[in-house]
Amino acid sequence: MSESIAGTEAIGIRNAVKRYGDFTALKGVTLSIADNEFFTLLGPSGCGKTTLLRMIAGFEAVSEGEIVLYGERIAHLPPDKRPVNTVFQHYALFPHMSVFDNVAFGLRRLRKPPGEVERTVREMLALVHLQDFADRLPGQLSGGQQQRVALARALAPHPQVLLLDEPLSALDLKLRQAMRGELQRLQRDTGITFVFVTHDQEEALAMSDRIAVLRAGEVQQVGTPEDIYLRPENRFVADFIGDTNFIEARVERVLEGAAELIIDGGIRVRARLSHRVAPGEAVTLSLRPENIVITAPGEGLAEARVLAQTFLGPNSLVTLELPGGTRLHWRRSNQSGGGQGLGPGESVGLRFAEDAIAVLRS
Amino acid sequence: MSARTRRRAETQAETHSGAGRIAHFGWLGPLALAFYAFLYSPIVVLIAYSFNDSRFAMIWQGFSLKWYATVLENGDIQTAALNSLVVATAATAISVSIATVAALALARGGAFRGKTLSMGLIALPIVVPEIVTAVATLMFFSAIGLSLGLGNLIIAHTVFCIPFAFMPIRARLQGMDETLEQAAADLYASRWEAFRLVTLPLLAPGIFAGAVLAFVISLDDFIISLMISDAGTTTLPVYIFSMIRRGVTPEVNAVSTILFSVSLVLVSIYWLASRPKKDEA
Ligand SMILES: Nc1ncnc2c1ncn2[C@@H]1O[C@H](COP(=O)(O)OP(=O)(O)O)[C@@H](O)[C@H]1O
Ligand SMILES: [Mg+2]
Repeated sequence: MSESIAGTEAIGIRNAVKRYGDFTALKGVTLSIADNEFFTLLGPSGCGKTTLLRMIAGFEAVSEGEIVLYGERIAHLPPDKRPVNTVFQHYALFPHMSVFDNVAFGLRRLRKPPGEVERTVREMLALVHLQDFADRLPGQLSGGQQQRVALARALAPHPQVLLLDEPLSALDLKLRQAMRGELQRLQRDTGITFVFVTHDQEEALAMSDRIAVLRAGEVQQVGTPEDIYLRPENRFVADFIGDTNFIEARVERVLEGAAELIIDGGIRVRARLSHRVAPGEAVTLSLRPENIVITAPGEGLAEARVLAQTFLGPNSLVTLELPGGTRLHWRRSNQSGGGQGLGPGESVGLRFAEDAIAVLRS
Repeated sequence: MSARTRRRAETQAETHSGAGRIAHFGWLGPLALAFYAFLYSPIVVLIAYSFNDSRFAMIWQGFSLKWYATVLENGDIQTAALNSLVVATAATAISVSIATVAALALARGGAFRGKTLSMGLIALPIVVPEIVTAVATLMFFSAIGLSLGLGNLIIAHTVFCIPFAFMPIRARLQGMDETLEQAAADLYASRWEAFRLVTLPLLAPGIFAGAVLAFVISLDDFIISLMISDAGTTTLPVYIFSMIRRGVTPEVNAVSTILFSVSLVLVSIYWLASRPKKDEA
């Protein structure tokens, strides 16, 4: 997978393989993470996110491949010799040290003068709004506060790269959402490259500059949140991120960066193309439910019948059936004054928003 | 605290409301009582008679501390007590060091062949009958001609103290999150710094508990000490045994009471130290 990135490369992972006995946890991962980027590794549990992070931190050796940090190979360096800090999933705060001593730990190991240690620790505690908690022990803090101590502790030595392993997963929903903005602010304020691990697609979309989607030790797609959500390249990515309709189609005509296809036994649609296809080929399309546009019967691209409707709060998911039997989910806004609901059996016309359909790699 | 007390009261109320169950096991109470009486009344009697103002052990004549004075003035008891303390202190220091290293190697040294076997071998002295260990040690020492006086006792005690020192240290280490050491390394600590600043302080309650346990075990040991010690290296339990053979006087009661008190205090300290603390979960 080749892609160009802007600016200097902070981390280069070249063909990294990790084996545990017979089991291959990472199957040749290649990634290039830019300086000052908020980069997210997204994937289901067990896909190898933590393994990759631990290889960058130095807790796991690479079985094959290279890891490059700002142009230097680091695969042979022990963790304490890498200018990289980690926010651990369960924080791993030192329970016998005060918040101050926890945050000061890295600076003291780097033999910074006491004055500088004091100043930087105060600065970091202010950055995470914990200036009044310096003398507490970690056991006397709430989960959210411990999380911020872990952040301050990892940021204090001003590493070149900060690694975060699902740092928000132990927090409750409200706090988790608040911390998203907080993490983005910290990344911008410090200018440190963040490598953030999560299995939560919403979190990844909300915070990242770029996302790498992983599955079973392989990179599926790398791109901006818009790329990943709007232009998924394969079925796994389309399915894992958000809701989507998968539509079976046959290629009719290949154009530049797009193709004309036939769906549902006769409806002609246009779809974006990120790889080569040949006329006549059977392919799968992805169409997000919010990209269906409903019209009066007879005024759209095709006719459809309403099968069912599920109320979800801000919107409803309506199941539609095309004449040829293809079923589609349509996400309908429940905004006030948005007209009345549709009853089962009702007929509607529909068309698709511009650029809304993607041809998936098989 | 009050919340916790209340919660406990509620739990008890719940337990008691299951009256059928309690009634069913109603005979357990008296049985437990009989058990405790059987276990502790000899000790209570022994302690009571140590304060007896009589030359004969079993005839009560009135309260007195004179037998304690006799004990404290007895030069042989002083020597034996000093021997016991020297042996217990040395055996504790050595066995705790060995146990700490062994526990670290087993818990953090990664997988190696014979790991389970090593674990078993460390714990073995607990289940081997003490008389067997005693005879074997005695024969071993005489076979190699080792006669270091108290040194012989210290070596023998160290060996059987190791498993007792090992257990609480190992338990503490198993409850300790390995990512803490990784976090230290991540924050630029060398291996030695990570050990000194993170592992050791967190392990300290376990090491302390192991040390107290080893000390008590050494202090109270009789069979092995009886075999290994000679005229100059008598320990306190061995000396008490020899006193009994000469006739039971309240002096035996007094010195036994002192030994019992010391053990009781140490075991209480051990129990307090090995109790898991709430804020270290
Ligand atoms: N030390 C190990 N030994 C054997 N298998 C491991 C080890 N660590 C991780 N794995 C396996 O590697 C895979 C990836 O694990 P991990 O990186 O923790 O996944 P994630 O963080 O994405 O949930 C999992 O299938 C896991 O069981
Ligand atoms: Mg993980």
